[in-house]
Amino acid sequence: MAALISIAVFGIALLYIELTNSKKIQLPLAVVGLLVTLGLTVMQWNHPSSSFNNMAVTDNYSVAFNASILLSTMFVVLLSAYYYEDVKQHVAEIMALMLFTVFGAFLITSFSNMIMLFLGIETLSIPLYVLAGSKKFSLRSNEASFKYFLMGAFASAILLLGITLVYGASATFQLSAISDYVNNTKQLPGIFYMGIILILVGFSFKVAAAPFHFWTPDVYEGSPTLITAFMATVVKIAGFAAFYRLFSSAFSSIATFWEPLLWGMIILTLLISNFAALLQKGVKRLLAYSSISHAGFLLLGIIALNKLSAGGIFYYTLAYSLATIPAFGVLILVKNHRNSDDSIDAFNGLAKKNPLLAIVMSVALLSMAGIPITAGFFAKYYIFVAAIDSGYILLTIFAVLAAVLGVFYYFRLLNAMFLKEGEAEKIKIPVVFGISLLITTILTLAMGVFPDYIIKLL
Amino acid sequence: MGSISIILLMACGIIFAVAAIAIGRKLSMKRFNPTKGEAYECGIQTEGDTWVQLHIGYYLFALVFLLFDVEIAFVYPWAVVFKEIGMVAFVEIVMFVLVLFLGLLYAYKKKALTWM
Amino acid sequence: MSLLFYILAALSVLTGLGVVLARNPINSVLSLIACFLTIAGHYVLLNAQFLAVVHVIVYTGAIMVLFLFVIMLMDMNRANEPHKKWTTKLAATLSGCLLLLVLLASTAKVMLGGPAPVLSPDMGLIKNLGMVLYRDYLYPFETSAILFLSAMVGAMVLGKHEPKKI
Repeated sequence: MAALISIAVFGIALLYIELTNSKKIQLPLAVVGLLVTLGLTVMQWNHPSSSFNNMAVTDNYSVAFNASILLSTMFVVLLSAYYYEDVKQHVAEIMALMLFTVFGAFLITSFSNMIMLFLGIETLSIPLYVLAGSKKFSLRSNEASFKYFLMGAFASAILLLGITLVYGASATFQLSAISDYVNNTKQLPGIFYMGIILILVGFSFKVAAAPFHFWTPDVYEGSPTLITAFMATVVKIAGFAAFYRLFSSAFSSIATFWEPLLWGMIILTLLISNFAALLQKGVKRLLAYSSISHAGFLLLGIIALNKLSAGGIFYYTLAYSLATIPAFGVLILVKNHRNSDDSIDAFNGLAKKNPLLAIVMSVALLSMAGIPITAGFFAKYYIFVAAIDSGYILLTIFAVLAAVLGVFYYFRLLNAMFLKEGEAEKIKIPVVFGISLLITTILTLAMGVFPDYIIKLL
Repeated sequence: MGSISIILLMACGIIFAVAAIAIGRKLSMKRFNPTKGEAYECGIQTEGDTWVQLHIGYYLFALVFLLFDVEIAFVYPWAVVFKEIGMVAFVEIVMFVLVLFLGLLYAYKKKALTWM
Repeated sequence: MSLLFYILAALSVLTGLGVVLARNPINSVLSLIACFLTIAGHYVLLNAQFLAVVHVIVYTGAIMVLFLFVIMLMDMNRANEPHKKWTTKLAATLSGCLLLLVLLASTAKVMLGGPAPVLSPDMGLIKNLGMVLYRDYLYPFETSAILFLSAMVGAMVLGKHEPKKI
């Protein structure tokens, strides 16, 4: 609770800092706000509590996901110092909107009531629609914002309709009560099933899983790169935390109904995203498709629905965030240097002149591909183990094949950086930027070498 | 509350409005000439399309208005139950209004509410 | 009561059709306002007076004004309206019909079970609503303030007039 209030207060404080127009305070205040909130969040570890008529529950599950959301936001905010260096206006507003997004994310990691789920998703999404369009004079950014808003509004409506139908059948919003209802009713009414399908559709839109992924490449490409990094990490962490919380508590007893649907979605997501990623020329679009494929792997953790799932999903989202942020960070630098050219060719010969950037990018890409000693390897490993444990052997084999396919397009980028010749010059790396890139890289490697510390948390 | 009375009221309202317009049409004299048919614009000939693009400023105002409209909708039931719930309800509404007020103050300071 | 319901329902459907079929977007909005008013009538019939009042004030009043502004914001020249391919139109119609079919089929199954039990006829009265909102649903109420705030800030970020290009 204290963490929630703290993030809101710092968000509002940032707004008023914007009025003074002094950039020197904005960034430190945002970082302090995130740190204070992180402290308050971690303090709740092993102190499960519920407040407001059981509407908000704080347990280790929500604390872990909240901490990982805060960590990702922190890195994004640190990168923003360089990214918004030349921008005069709206910087503090953008950070405030990020904090409000985090506020929404907190609501859905710790919800135990469907109303809070909807409210949280809206609080998460609405600032993001604005952030996607925050590059006001770029047509692409406007388009991304508009597209995201229209699609997101529809998805929210579908999710809400699903929640309503479930309420109509069970007459309750409380997750535990819905679960009781499912267990105690012999013949569930049709609207209940319809509700589950619609909720599934709404969620798969928000986490960008096929067949509801089509907005992702355009929105990720059009949004300002830093915002894309924010979207790709925070929304995915929070979305999957809520997704798993809902389906593992309220709907776990009728898993036989929704698991086949999810099964099909996983196959589709992995197929579409990996083949589409092979064809991409732009790095931003490639990362967008890779983000979709990660959603596919994460869905495996949900379909597994056993005691390994929560830890697996947590580890995966954290590893994915720690790889995504430096990847986009390096992309920002290269893109700025190459006059907004974000094609793979822009990375040609990066390793010669900028070994540090090339190493950071390689570790991030290897982690995304799931190569050992990076966090990504164990992320996929734990998810696969969870899935096999629940008997999804065929699906896991398919996912492994998809992961192998994924290695191809990550290696296209590595190939460009290390083997191809390019007229690369030395890129100057700002201090804060470089440090945060290094920290994420070190964390990725550390998580890959000592995975036990993270996986044992949940 | 019988539905008959509501239907009667509705019917009366409709008949009254329709009758007023219809009688006016029937009784009034109609003489047309070209000058009469023009749009009245201080005697100058109107030019261009009637469809003009509005300024985005209108939209901002409308949105801020909408937010406070919703707030009023929340305050109404609060006022009804305030006595029964007491101090807790007071703190709740103060917090709610405070957050929105901070938003409005921010909009004001940011000069988003000044014209152009 | 049922006669009034049928009158209102007929009006809702007619005005709803008006929204979709009107050529001029302003006429659409006006039909939508009429449609909302009839829906407010339905709320009154269901003994949910507060909902009816809020519906008129917020939706018919404020949101429709916003709609009108948005329509006036746009450049509505017929000439630059993009022409859709017939395949797009066909796909849109088909998928819309499919969605309708699925929703209808699933709701029809429920309808056969007879009318839903009414929990309490006074449920929609302002007093009960206030008690529920400020006692049981306090948490969503307070958090929605942040949602409103972020919507307001977002509108300012996107909508504020910029003096010069950055």
